[in-house]
Amino acid sequence: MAEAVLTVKNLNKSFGRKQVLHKISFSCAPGRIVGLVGANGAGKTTIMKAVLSLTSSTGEVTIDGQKSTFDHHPVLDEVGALIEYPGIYPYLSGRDHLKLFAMGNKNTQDIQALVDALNMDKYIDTKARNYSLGMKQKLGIAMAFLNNPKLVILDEPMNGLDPQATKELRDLIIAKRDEGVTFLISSHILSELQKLAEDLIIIDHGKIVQETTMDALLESNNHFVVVSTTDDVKAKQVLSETGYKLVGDVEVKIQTKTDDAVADVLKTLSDNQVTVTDVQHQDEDLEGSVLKLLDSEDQK
Amino acid sequence: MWTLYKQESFKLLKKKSTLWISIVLALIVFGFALTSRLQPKYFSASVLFTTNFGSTTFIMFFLIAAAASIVTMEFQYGTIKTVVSQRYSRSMILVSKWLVILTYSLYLYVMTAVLALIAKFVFVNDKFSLTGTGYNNDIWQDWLANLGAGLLTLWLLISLVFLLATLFKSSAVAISVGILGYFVLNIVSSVMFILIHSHEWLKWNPINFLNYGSQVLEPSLSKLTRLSDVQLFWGNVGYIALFLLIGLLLFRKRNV
Repeated sequence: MAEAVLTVKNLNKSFGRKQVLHKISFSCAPGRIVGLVGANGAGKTTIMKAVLSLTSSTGEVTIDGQKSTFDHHPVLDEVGALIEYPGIYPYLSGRDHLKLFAMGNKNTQDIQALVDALNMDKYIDTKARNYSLGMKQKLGIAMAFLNNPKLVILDEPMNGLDPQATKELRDLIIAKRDEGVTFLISSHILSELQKLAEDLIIIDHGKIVQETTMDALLESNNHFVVVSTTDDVKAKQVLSETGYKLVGDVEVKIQTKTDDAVADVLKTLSDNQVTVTDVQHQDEDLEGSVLKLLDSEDQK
Repeated sequence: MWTLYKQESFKLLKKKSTLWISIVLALIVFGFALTSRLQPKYFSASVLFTTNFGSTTFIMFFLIAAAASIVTMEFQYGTIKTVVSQRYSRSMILVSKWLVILTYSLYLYVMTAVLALIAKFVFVNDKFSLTGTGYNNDIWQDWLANLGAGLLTLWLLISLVFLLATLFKSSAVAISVGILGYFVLNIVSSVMFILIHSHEWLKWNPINFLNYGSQVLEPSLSKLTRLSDVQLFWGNVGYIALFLLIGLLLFRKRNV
């Protein structure tokens, strides 16, 4: 595997006596979208702040092979970020913000490309004071993408975005990922994260509870088959007698391990003269897996 | 560092108030010059001239506000996260802010000085000559000495404002303390001089050093401040360095 773009080792952070991060260690491989998942207050933002030298912490942060510390962090040149809410100077226009933080000579074209990608043309030259929440959020995201960073850290990037803007952002993230940019993204909108993240770091109470890939996590999920029949009562009875695990009270919902179990289910029903009118697959999503995982952690 | 300096200048120049402050100061200079022409009994043109026609007091108010807000606005707007997560250290960020305010203070002093000269020649050229006698020296010498000493004591206040601005997230506190400091000087100076008379060591308190500008023009004030001009000069420099340094040490540790 290529050298990680971001490596975090044994990160600890306390606010007064309260320790909020416990030995956090993980790494982000180049060109991957890494999702940081956890409940409110689990420590997602604090991890991101520590990586960006915004908050002091103990432990080691290495970005693109260079150590980065609270006092000395020239390597942050290669990192773009949006943490919590976007920081906006109300008296500057959106374009002024981008000019202010842009480096190098090509910046006019780069800025326009970002403005186009996020569809901000209509208001980019007006004062940010009049921006809506979503407009500010987009500007914050555009600032994170300035200067062609190798690593982009986004904390709840979908906040305040409408469906159209959410899609634009998703497309932009995927396009940049394809160019080799690495992403560390936290989001509580897990359905959105499921569409983006390839690797997952799940944290709870300041500890990493699982580091996995999206595919592996979803693979381990439960699969269900829901059948509609002419006689649901009989169908349930037949299936449960045959040994299938039924879930839910209303519909005929069977928990299966694999997809090929469907044929067996249909055969069993048809053998027992139950006519099937519809079949649907249901998979547990990221949200289900995460909730289950956090639930089991809480019970420990 | 140059990048940070450019960023800070860009932010300052884009503020509408920056333009307005220049305009207001120009109006003050010409307004007082004109007043001293129309009401010479109450307003001495030569005395007003040594303070760029009264504009230095206003420069102080504006600069205290500018110094406080250049630090605290970053926390207020949440932009500090973007500023700090660049390649630069916190020390460099704060130093660039000092330098921009230093440039701004020099610009305002030079601008009002140039305007004061213009105003002198346009409105009150017949009232006094630059080579005439002022307080102790030629008027032009008094003028430059007063401006130099005024700029230095202004920086004593500004350094304190910078220190307070790194302690508090609100610009209101830093601005209030800076401006109050100035008024407090006027109110407590008589009490302070009595205390200095009985407790000599109190002469080293920072408020006493704010008298530098006045003492340059009125050497007899040294009987009250108990300090020489040279001591006042170096005391100002020392306190400025101390306040800035404490502010820097606090800012370096600041979590965002």
